[in-house]
Parts: sequence; C-alpha cells; structure tokens
Amino acid sequence: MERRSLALKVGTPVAVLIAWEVISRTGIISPVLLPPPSKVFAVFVEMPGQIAVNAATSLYRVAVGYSIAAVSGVTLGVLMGAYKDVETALDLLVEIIRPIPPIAWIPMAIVWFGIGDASAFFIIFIGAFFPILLSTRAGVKHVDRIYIEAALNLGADDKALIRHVLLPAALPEILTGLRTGLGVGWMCVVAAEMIAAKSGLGYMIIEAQRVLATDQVIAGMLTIGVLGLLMDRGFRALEKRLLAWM
Amino acid sequence: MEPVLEVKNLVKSYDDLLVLDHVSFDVHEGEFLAVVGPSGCGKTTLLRIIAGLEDYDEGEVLLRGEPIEGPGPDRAMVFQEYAVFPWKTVLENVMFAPLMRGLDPEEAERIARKYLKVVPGLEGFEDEYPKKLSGGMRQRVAIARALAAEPEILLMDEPFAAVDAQTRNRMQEELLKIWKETEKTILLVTHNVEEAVFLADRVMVLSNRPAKVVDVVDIDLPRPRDRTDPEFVRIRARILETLGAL
Repeated sequence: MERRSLALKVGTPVAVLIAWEVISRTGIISPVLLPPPSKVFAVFVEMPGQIAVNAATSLYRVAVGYSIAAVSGVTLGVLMGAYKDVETALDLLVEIIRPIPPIAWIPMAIVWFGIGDASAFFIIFIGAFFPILLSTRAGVKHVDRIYIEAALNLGADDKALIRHVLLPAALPEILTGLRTGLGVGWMCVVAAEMIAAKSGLGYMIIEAQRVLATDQVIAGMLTIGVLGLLMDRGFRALEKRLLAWM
Repeated sequence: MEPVLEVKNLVKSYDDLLVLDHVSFDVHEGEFLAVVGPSGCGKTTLLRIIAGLEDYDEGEVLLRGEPIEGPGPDRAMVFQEYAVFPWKTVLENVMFAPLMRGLDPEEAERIARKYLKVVPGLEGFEDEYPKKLSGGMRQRVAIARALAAEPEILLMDEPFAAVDAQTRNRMQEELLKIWKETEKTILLVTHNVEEAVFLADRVMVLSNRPAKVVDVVDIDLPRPRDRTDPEFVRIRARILETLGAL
C-alpha cells in the first residue's frame, strides 16, 4: 500500500512531464509556446544565480509584508474576538475592504510607495492580513466559555486571559489563518512584482515573457510553485509542534 | 465565630423564571457543606453566583463578612465539566492561580508541586497534557488547580458527575483525605444524595424551581462512613423522601 501510493504520487507528475516533453518535441505544440521540460530545467542550470537572487528578493518581500500582516492581524483579531465594542467599531470597515482583491490595490500602492519594495510589502500585507484577521477573530470567539470562566475564577485579569486562554485556545484557528495568509502573501508578491517592482520572481517571469523566453517563464513559475509548497509544508510542521497538546 | 460564607435572602430569576427564592445559609470555617436538589433546580446557579460568575437580583453574599465582587481565587471552583486547560501541562494548570497572584514562576511551581502531592495519583504526570489523562485524572488536576489558588472556600459543582461509579467512590474518599489534610472549607453541589451524606458535615436540601431551602440535615456519623450503615441509610432515605415529596 505504501509503495503503491508512492508510485501514484510520483507517477502522475512524471507521466505529465513525459507527455509534455513528447508534445513539445514532436511539434504538436510549438516549442516556443510550450518549451519542453528538458529546456525548462536547463534554465536552472544555465542561470541559477539569477533565479536564486530573484527568489531571495521575493522571499524577503514576503517576510516583511507577511510579518506586519501577522502581527497586526492577530492583534486586531484577538481584540475583535474578545471585545464586542472593538468588533462593532471595525466590522463594517473590514467587510468593505476585505472583498477588494489585493491586486486592485496595486495602482494606489504605486502612487503611494512608488515602484519597488515598499509597494510589494503593502500588497503582500493587504493579501495576508484578512485571512489572518478573520481566522483569529473566529478562533477567539469560539473559545469555550468554561475555560474563560475557569481563568477568571482563578484570578486572571484581561491581559492574562488573552495570553493564557484566548491565544492558546484559539491557536489552531490562528495558525490556519497564518498559513492561508502566507499562501495569499506568496501569490501577492508575484502579482506585485509583475507591475510594481523591478526585481523578484514576478518581475523575472514578466520580463522573460517580453522576449518570449518561455522556458524562463515556466522555470520562474516552477520556482514559485516549489517555494510555495515548501513554505506550506514548513508551516504545517510548525503547526504540528505547536499543537502537540491537541 | 464568623462564618466563612454567608448567603442571605438570595433571589435570582432569568427573565420571568424565578430560580432562587430567598436562599439563606452559612458555611463555617473548615466545614464541608453539601447542597442537594433535583436536577436543574438552580444549585449550579447558586454556586456560580457565589463564585461571582453570575449576578443576582436581591440578597447578599458575604465572604468573611465582605460582599463578593466578581469572580476571584478566594472562591476557587471545581467545575462540572473538565475545565482544565488542554494547552497546559498538568503542572502548568496547577501553577495558574499562583502565577495570577503575581508570584514568580519558581514560587508558583513550588506551590503547584505541593498541591500535586496533596491530590492522590498526580505525581509522575506533571508534564503530561490533559488529553493523555482519563476523566477522573483530569478532575483530580482540576481539584489540585483549585487548591493551589489557596481559596477561603472551595466550590465544587458536581465534580464527580462525569466519572464512572467506581472512580467516583474512590475520588470521594480522596476528597475527604484532602479536606482533612488542608482543612479547607468546602461547598459542594451534587444531585447524588449518597455522595452528599458520605462526604458532608451538613446537607442542605433545595426544592425544585424556584429553589428554596427545605431542609438542613446534620450528619454526625464518624468518618470513614459506611454506606451500608443503618444510620447512613436512614439519613439518606430521609433526604430522598424530602426530595421525593417536592
């Protein structure tokens, strides 16, 4: 069973690669429109430095924009979940801003922050912030009353209640929000770099597309996919450790 | 001597439903008072009001002569459900109240370890999370956690309702040992008449909604009590009869 599932898991992508190579090599689809995977992988050998530098740039931008979103999203989420007044005061605002796609903010980001890191930070922040905020708020609201009452009964004040009860009890949902936010942030950096930056993986693929270097475009896309997967896997491992008590 | 707890003419209603109808009683230093009554009669509400977790319409609740204000560790409670914090280890749960008192972690741990010794069966489980423990063990943790608050009076809301009969009997004996050792004043609510007669110095019988005090029975039997002793059986029958006539 173990071997069978492994074969299925790896077999499908390998089959897709082979079919893709054949379709491209035989010219069923022009290699310019669809470069064969062998050519795409060659890009990683030919220009590893360029890919690494652009990947590092994108990762750095996500790290900054996402950190700001994580801190502010969790903080506001806890306050909205814990205090009815804060929720009432912010709810409508959140509901109006939340449906605006992060990409729709790019024009204003360029006006406010220009082309470069700051615009990317902002777009990533917008994208990551809402999933984090909403999951945190929901998590805090779902905390079983019995734990809150037990903590109050044992002498907890508001600060202790948040630190010792609301945050840890809501942690499963907070982590889900943080993981979703990371994924959205990673998508946003690519979009932001296509329009509002002159470096990074998003910039790299849009530039390659201008000179029809489709092999580089796909190599860039694969890099984005693999890095996204690694981040998600890393985050899940972290979740497992933090939620050992569950 | 001044009673530890005085409840005077306590009245509580939910909307139009009168739950507590002028309930008055005292609990004296070191006394073990059990409150029995039909399920849903308002016993738990009474305990929650004393704990400061619910407000009341009329009357007075005095702890050592002072009116209670909100929840507090001087009236630490063992809840009906398993209210131990699942995200904290056994030791961390028991350290909670000492930490909330503002003690530094070393001192809090020292107090916690002291009460982990007072409650039988917890030694060796200090670093486990509650999910690894049986229901009975979790309730032992809840008792140790409440004791570590070093309350003036220990409130217990059907603490053994969710454990099997055998464990329940054993835990009742353990509770008596703890009571003797710590000389705590205990107010226990139960619907189990046998439990009340086995444990308490006095048993207060409440009527069905609205709850009124209909009888207070002194239990002068020596401990450990024999549940098959004729006098035990007679007292139990008397209380059951009072309840049955309601």
